[in-house]
Formats: sequence, C-alpha cells, structure tokens
Amino acid sequence: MALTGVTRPGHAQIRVLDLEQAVTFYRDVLGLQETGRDPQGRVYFKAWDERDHHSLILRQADQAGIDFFAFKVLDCATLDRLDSDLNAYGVKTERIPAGELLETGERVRFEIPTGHLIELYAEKSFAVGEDRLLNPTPWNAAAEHGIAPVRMDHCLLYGPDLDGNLELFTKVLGFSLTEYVENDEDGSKIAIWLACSNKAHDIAFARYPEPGKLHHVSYLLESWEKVLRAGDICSMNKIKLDIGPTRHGITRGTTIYAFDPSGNRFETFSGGYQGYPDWQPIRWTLSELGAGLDYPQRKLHESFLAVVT
Amino acid sequence: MQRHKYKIENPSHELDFSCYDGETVLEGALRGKGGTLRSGCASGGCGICRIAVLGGQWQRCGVMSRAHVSEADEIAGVVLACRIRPQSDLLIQEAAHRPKANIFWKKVQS
Repeated sequence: MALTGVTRPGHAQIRVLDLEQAVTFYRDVLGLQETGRDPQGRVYFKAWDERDHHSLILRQADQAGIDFFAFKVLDCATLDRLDSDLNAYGVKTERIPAGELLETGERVRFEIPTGHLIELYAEKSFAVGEDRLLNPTPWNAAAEHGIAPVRMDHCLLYGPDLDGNLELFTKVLGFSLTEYVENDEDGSKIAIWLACSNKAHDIAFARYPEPGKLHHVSYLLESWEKVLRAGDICSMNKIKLDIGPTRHGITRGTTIYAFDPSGNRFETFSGGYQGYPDWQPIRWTLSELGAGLDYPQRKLHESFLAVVT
Repeated sequence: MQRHKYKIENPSHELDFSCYDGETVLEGALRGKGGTLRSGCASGGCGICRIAVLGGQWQRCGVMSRAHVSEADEIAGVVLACRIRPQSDLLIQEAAHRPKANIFWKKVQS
C-alpha cells in the first residue's frame, strides 16, 4: 500500500522519577542515542537506525507514565486535513507551535476516548549522518551499544472507552483493525491492535477502568537472537523483567518485556507479520488469551495484565 | 558469614518472611515462600506492592511515584515495598492501591 495520511509512530514522551538515572538506562542499557536537551530539561533520544531527530522524550516528574504519543503524517496539507476531520468528528484539537519540541514542526494534539493525548505532526528534522545515506554499512558501532533497537515501533495503552478509540482511529485517522480480543460472554472487545501501515500494529489499546495509562512502549529488534541478547543485557544490568523471552500468539512477535528505572514497561521484540488494510481482522477469544499473550506457555501473566503506569 | 536477617510479619495474611540486611521488603517477599506480596515494576512506578508499615524502622531507598504514595502516606508509613529497606523487624499490612478490577484481572483472579 502507498503510505499516505498517518504514516508512522513518531515519538512518545515518558515521565520518569529520576531523570539522570533514566538517561543512563535509555542510553547505555536500551542503547538509544541522546540527540538533545531542551530548556524545560527534557531529554531526547533516537534509535540508531531512525532518521528523524527523536522518537523518545523523557520528562522528570513525580509520577511515572506517558504524557503523549505522536504519529508523523505525510505532509502539512495532510495535517490540516486531519485536524479539520477530527473537529468535524467532534474531537477538540489544540495546535502546539513549531519548536515546542526540539526540531519538530507544528503539532495537532487531541484527547482520545481512553484519556490519552495523541499528537499528529508533519515535520521533524532528519538527524542521520551522511555515512548512513551514501554507500552505507549495514550496521555500525551504535547498533552494538546496549540492546540497540532499530526503531521505536508502537505502544500499548490502557483506558476505559476502547470502542470510542476504535471508531476514531479507523474512521478518522485511517487505521485498520488487525487483531482483537473478544469477551466470550458478551462479545465486547477488550483489546485492539491497529495499524496505519502494513505492520501488525502501530498502536494497541486494552480496556481498563482508569484513563490515560501506559502499558508499554515497544522497540524493534532484527532477530529472535537479538531478543535473547536483550534479555542478557537486562539481567547484566539488573533490569526487572516482566515476561519473556517468549512469543506472542497475537501479532506473532518474539518478545521480552521489562521495566525502566521508573517502572514504565518497555518491550523489545522481533518478527510479526506484514498485513494489508483490506485484510479481515484476527479474532481472539478471552478463553484463549493465555495463548495470545504467551504462545509457548499459554499463560496469563498477572503482572502483565494488571501493572501499568 | 551469615547476614543479618529481619523478620517481616503480616498477621492478617500469615505473610511472614525475612529480609537480609540491604534487601528491599519486596526482594525479601519474592525470595520467600509462595505468593507473599504482589510484584510489578519493582522500580517505584506502578504501585502494585503498596504496603502500610505498622511497626518497626525502615529506610527509603528510591523514589516512589506520587500517584501511589503521597507525602502524607509516606509520613504515615504507607509506602512501596520495592522502595524500602528494613532497619528492624517490621509489622506490615498490604495496602494495595490496586488498579480497580478490569476484565483481564477478573479473569486472572477466577
């Protein structure tokens, strides 16, 4: 498919309890590259193979969690169109001026029915070395520093009105529903996976009584072997693992989940499949959720389901 | 050399376990027998291991999210088990600031 409209996840702003401890973790254990600090004290990071200036922003706060998650749209005309489409649909939007985030153009911010802030933007500076654009090596030293994911890939957010999110993302923002978990008893959806590209997911949501919660931000690795290596690096650095290494039934990714030093969960994963927007979504029943979550063990992990920030 | 051990008592849940000197209450609980305390991020952020310390001395060993432990809570001894180290034997009680039941959670519980 031609990527138009909303093209990809762009950045997540995460709240951390101790900024310098978080910086050390994201730089040296997860292996992202620090690309800037702004006058508010926020710290910016990108993965080694990403081209845009940043995909993660850390903000010091007294509570962990997520401030907002953003998507890059094709161009400024698309940004204006989606802004007015959101308004026409009944969603209030706010325009955040260019430069409020380093190297980033104007952003359109809005609250979705699960209580999270989502942003759209069209412009962000490229921060990729010339060596990556002319006869490049397939990888470099940065690709070996820490876990070193290829990119920030998606997130999973928890909140109450899942149906509202599904309608907003599919009807206004052009996402496709790729997979969902259904409650066997009443047919309601309790978790949904959505794609704006041909990935198995660009964002996912699960039903939860409290609004605005973060389950995890996910980072892509190139192989299952690198997922195992990520597990080794977590253990070497006494990083608290949640689940894995294992494989999800849902989206088929091989995965490890762990917690950053403020308790925000992150995922390092590999694999999955490529889909197309005309495909029918895959349905999982609640009785098979154990296999959907952890395919080899077919196990519902209590902490994975209940722990959020 | 035997390290000093503190006894952690939770009379209402028959939840006794021990902590070696330098361990957090959560680390001691996880090392102990079977389901002692609920464990999440072990980093002060998620609040799942929230407890009330009813007796004994302890020391804070990290930042706790104010979403789960207010300043008043902390003064009253309501803390996260992953963020305190005993300085004496302790008497504790679970004070889960537990996320309200969601459908996943109900399923896990059943």
